[in-house]
Amino acid sequence: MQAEDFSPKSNTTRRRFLTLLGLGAGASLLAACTSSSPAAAPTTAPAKPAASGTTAPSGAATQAPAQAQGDAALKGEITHWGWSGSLDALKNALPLFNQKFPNVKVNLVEMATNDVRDKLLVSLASGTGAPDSSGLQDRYIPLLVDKGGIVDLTERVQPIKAQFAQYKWSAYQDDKGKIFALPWDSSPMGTFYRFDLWGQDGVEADPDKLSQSVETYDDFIELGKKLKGGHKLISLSTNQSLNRSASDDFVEGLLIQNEAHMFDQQGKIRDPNPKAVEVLKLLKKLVDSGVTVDVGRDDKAPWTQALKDGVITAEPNAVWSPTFILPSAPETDAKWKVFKLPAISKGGKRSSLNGGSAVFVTEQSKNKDAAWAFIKFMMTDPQALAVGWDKNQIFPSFVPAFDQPSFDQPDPHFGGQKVAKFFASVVNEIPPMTYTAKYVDAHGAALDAVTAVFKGADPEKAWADAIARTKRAA
Amino acid sequence: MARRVTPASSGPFATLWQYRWPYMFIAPWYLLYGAFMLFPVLYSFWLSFQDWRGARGTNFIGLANYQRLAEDDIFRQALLNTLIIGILYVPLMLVLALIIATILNSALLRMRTFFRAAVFAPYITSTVIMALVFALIYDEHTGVLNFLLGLVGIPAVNWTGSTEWSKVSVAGLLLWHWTGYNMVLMLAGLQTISQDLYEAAAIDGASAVQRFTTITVPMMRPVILFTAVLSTIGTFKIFNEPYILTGGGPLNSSTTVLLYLYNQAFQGFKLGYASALAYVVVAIVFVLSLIQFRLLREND
Repeated sequence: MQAEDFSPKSNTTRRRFLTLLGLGAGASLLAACTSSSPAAAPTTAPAKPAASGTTAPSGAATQAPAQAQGDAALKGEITHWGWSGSLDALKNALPLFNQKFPNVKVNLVEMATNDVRDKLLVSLASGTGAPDSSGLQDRYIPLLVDKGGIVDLTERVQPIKAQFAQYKWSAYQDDKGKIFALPWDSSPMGTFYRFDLWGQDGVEADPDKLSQSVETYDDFIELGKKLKGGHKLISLSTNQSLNRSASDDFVEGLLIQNEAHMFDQQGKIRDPNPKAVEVLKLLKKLVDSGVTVDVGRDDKAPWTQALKDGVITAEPNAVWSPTFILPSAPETDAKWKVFKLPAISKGGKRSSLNGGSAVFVTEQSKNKDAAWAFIKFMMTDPQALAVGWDKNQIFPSFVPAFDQPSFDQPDPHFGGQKVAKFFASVVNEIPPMTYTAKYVDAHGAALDAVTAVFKGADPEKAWADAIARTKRAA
Repeated sequence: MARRVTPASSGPFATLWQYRWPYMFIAPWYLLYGAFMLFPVLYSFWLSFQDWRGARGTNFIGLANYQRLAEDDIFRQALLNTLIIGILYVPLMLVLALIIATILNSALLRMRTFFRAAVFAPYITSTVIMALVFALIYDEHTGVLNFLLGLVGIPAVNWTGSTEWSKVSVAGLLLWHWTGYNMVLMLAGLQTISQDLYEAAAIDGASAVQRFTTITVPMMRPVILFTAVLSTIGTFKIFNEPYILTGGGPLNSSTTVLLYLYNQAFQGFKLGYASALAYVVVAIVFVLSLIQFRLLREND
């Protein structure tokens, strides 16, 4: 490492490296969107005119109190930040917004996913350069709430609060219960599975029947054992860590599903946390029973190969996960369906979440009313949200939007299953998740506990260590 | 010529004014250096005594960041990891670099330029690509390394996914990446050694190995010192390799100090804490460099 001395040059390489990573992530996101949307267009596009032509008037009538009322008197120019996939959705719905607010000009600025977070923190802290409004992943919102600079929206959201999937709100509250963001995409999880391979192997392959018969992860393991010819159930890396964040979806999903994540709804550390220990034991059981493949998405090449070879036949993940599955293994397109997550124990929750995002207004905005009108319209206009789903696979959390025809279409990528309808049916089962500003510490500690258990540590002790580590963190 | 330089106008400001054009020409570098190097260095020193709270400002918390650092077991582990990785690759790399440089410096070798370029090539390869390729080589089930070991009957090793081997994997990648660079430095050093010494030794009947150990190594001491110090500093700046290859895992077994700093600063946004961490690392590197200078100077 000699060449990297303390000169400006080494900063350039570091930044270039990070930019490269960002570009790579951005490119794969773009690839995800472009490769799946043209294919999705044939089915969803015909539905679009119908949506705006026939159902829109009645929809507008019933949603009237919730919808942003048009206002030509509202004038001004605002800037909104976002990352590639999400920003495209806003771009596509912008004409709808400008029909109602003809005098608000919106500049959409696109950047790499983590750049949005980093640039927001920097510009809010320095007091200059922040946009009027922006989108960000739920897990980083508490960081912004903690570091300040975004507008308290408590009163503004009050009239529409009840219409969103309720689990979303705890992510945007400070310790006094004030709300700082408006929910955008929900990220409900389900079990994606290869219905073609499961059918061949002679196990149940109908999604509705699977939701009934595979009630717990024990049932899931039993099903996995019946698979033939080297087919396994899921990929589950036994090397989980903070910087292998593409591999941890399922682990975090399980913790949230069992209401066992590090923080309770008020943001306090759960101590003791027997339900987390339950999850650790389940993860170990999954690996020991031989139904998993020991790779994560961070092990790009082996993971992709296992997916293409049909070794991985299931992916318990969020509604957006086809945007990375299908581009990685295009030959598996139209061979997946989705059923409910199994419960950790009988009678437990059958859904969880992975990801999700929100929008908010900054204190630096000189036109907060216009910025609020913009984000409120985008988050609550059923038509705009339908466009976001049709074209950019952004699954909303504004429940009335699910009445749009777009959310009731058979999806050709999923053997004709009505995937959106399925996910809309589980959104309200999702337990709340409170990330807090210490999320990164808690997440790192939790993943280390999982890895320790995979390497043979006692689950009780491993989670006690994770709790201790999170408490120590500043 | 006719320029007058009177004693009355020779104060510091007058001098500055007199040389205003040269100063203006060199100013851009100093301005950039000040803005992007000097200011951050000083600011992070100040920040290391603060609790950084973003738009809410900063709180002075004295030595609390340093205190917490002393109790931070992951930081301690990261320091230890960094030292172990350094011990795994630096000495081996310097020996290899010197041997390869000696071979490539030999007048007997054909296609010297080609071999020099080939050995140097890893240095100019993108670390990201390298780490991704090494991930394939190291893969437990499909990697070529385990395949080759299997041929001689050694069971498969989980190179990047086990606490025992993750540091070795990172060190292997570093060795491959940096040997060529050090080889070039050594080569430059070798070419300053007078051929007369070798001729005289050869006439006296010294073998090639004897000439290497009694002429090359002692004459190369300054270059070896230089590369050793740079490598030690470099070891404390290892980031890309573990970030991509192992993510610092499993169980922080390959988390280096810089990777931990990155996690604190740019994942957790604890900029005060991360600044304190940076200053502790600088202090350690400074002390280690001093020790190395002492050790290698004493032998003179």
